[in-house]
Amino acid sequence: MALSYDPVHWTPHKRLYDRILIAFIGVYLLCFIGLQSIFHPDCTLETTVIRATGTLGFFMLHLILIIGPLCRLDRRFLPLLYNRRHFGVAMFLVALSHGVFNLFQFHAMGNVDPMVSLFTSNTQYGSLARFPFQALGFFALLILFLMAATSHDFWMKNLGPRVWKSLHMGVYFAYALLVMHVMLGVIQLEKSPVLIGMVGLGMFVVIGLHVAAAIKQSKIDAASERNIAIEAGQAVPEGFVYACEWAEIANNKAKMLLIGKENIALFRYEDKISAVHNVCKHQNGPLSEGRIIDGCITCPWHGYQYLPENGQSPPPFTEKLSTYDVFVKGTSVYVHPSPYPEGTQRIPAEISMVS
Amino acid sequence: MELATLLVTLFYLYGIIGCVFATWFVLRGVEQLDHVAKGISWITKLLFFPGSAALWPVLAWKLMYTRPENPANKH
Amino acid sequence: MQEEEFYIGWLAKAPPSFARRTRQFILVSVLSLPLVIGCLVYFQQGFSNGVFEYGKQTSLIGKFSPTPAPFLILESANQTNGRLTPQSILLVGVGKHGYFADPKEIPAGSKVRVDGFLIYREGKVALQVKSIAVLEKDSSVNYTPFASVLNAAPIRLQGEITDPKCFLGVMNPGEGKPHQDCAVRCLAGGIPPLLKVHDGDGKDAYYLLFGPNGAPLFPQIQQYVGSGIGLCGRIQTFDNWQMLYVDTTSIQRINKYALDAGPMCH
Ligand code: FES
Repeated sequence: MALSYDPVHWTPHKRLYDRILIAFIGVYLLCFIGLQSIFHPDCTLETTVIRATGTLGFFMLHLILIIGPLCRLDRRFLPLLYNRRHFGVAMFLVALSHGVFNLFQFHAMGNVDPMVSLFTSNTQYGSLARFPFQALGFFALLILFLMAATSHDFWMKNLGPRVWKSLHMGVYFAYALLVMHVMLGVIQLEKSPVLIGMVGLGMFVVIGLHVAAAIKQSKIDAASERNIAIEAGQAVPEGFVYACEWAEIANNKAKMLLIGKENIALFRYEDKISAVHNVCKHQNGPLSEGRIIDGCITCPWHGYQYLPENGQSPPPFTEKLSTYDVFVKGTSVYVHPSPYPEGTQRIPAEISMVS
Repeated sequence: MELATLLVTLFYLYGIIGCVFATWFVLRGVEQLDHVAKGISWITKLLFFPGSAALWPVLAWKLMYTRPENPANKH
Repeated sequence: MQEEEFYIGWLAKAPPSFARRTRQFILVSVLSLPLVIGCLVYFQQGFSNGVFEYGKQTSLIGKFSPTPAPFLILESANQTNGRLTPQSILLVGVGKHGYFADPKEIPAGSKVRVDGFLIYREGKVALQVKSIAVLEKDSSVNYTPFASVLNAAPIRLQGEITDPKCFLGVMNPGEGKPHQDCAVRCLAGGIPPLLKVHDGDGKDAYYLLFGPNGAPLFPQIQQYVGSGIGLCGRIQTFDNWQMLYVDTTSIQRINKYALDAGPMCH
């Protein structure tokens, strides 16, 4: 909800989040460096720092990646999602220090430019076991940089939510690159099965939670489609499609509908029913999982707000959603699945408690 | 080796152009693209810098092909 | 219908059930820290006892021998208070560079004083040269660099190629895949390659590698750095160092711990 751009929209939660984050990073680095100097006193400081930052960044990436599916499986994890971008930027900075240390340690002060050295020292791009794994790390870092650099809401607005979202889906590509970076890099030297097992466990958790969340989501989608299929064909006004009984929607809450390609949120409030596009303008949050607060649809992810009857954010904000026509006959609610232009005022359908 | 040197040189060039562009962009261009960014603080400008340097072709394209927003139409 | 709790980030307080879940996540993450760090640290394979005395300058006087690699031949141990026995010390440059001397300024056999930083591991010593001063030019003598004789029969060895500067102590680990790029860079900078031969008894042997007539082996061996290889060559002993004059056609990739001896050498 950008009225003007601040570096960070500070809230008490964000401050707490950041403090925990910084403490987490600090404790990790201190413990790692401390234990390393006890167990491996011969290890050089540079190697220790490289390994500490590398493992920390990889660990943080796992935590970041599991927050998304966890929230889809259980909404009560949402506070973690709320400020995940700071987590992401912090992870990038850790990864960057790992990258810079490596570039300096392994490639600087030689006979060619360090970046040229990065890509030409190992030329065995055709071999798997001998693949130049540092190049993989470089490209992953590049993706993480783009994501961190564009994490401010300014970028979301000016690149467009679609471009922004696909850019940030790059994190999965970066993760794949980093798994390869680890397996084809340090694991070729440190062959302990425990270390290999840890990489495997991390992948198992990340992939497992994503699959579980996808299964849950597909069940929800199927259920809302089934509803419509069962009731379709009832006598309804031209073009309207049966959605549900209004009693199925709790007051000040919503129901999600998938009609054809349209993803619709049907809100009930003050004995009225309005329909808007289910996708939040901010980061594509699911509005149907939000609720009406102070007369406004409030997104469950970061709290963007919209008026239900016209899909507009209350002034001075400027975000707008598409709206749909709603028709109520008796206890049944019908929706016309063709959207109006974003921000178009529609008269909400009245429900009468008597009938 | 030659190819790598060429690509790395291009990469540096891209970065340098990006930094020059970003300097101008956070000082002036950003307000043309997005009127909400008028009068943002120095820290915010600094925060926009890396992204502007990295995505300069996108921003330059947007600045050329989209009309500046008219603040009068807003609110 | 019971009112479910709802979370909005910009409100000051999260509903209790949300706060609880969040706390659980943080708790699990924090509790996993000791386990993760413990395993990561404990299950590393260990490090060498190589040392790089960076910043601690050592001054040594001896004879300069430029071929096939630049060495300082220490004549007496006294100058290091017994720290070093009389031996030959490999001279290397700053960063990822070898040490090069202009033969006109420092002819072979000259008595020189070298200031620099020591690098040592398992009886092999190198010195990163900071400055070198000629004390006595001795170009009149036809200087023979090596006291020992070149072994006539080629033998077969297998191991891993790295660079002696990092391997002896500048980097730890100075071998294996993570260090491969750095080793390539050092060899490209003119440091002679080092072959680490794992002999199965836990004792490793080290050889400096050269072409058949003492020429540098880089870049022919670039692709073999950092992984297991087998090769044929003729050994020459030089004080406490072993030189290996490699038959470049014999190099082949193998598992560095394999016991199979590979094809015969000619
Ligand atoms: S997605 Fe961020 S507020 Fe809706």
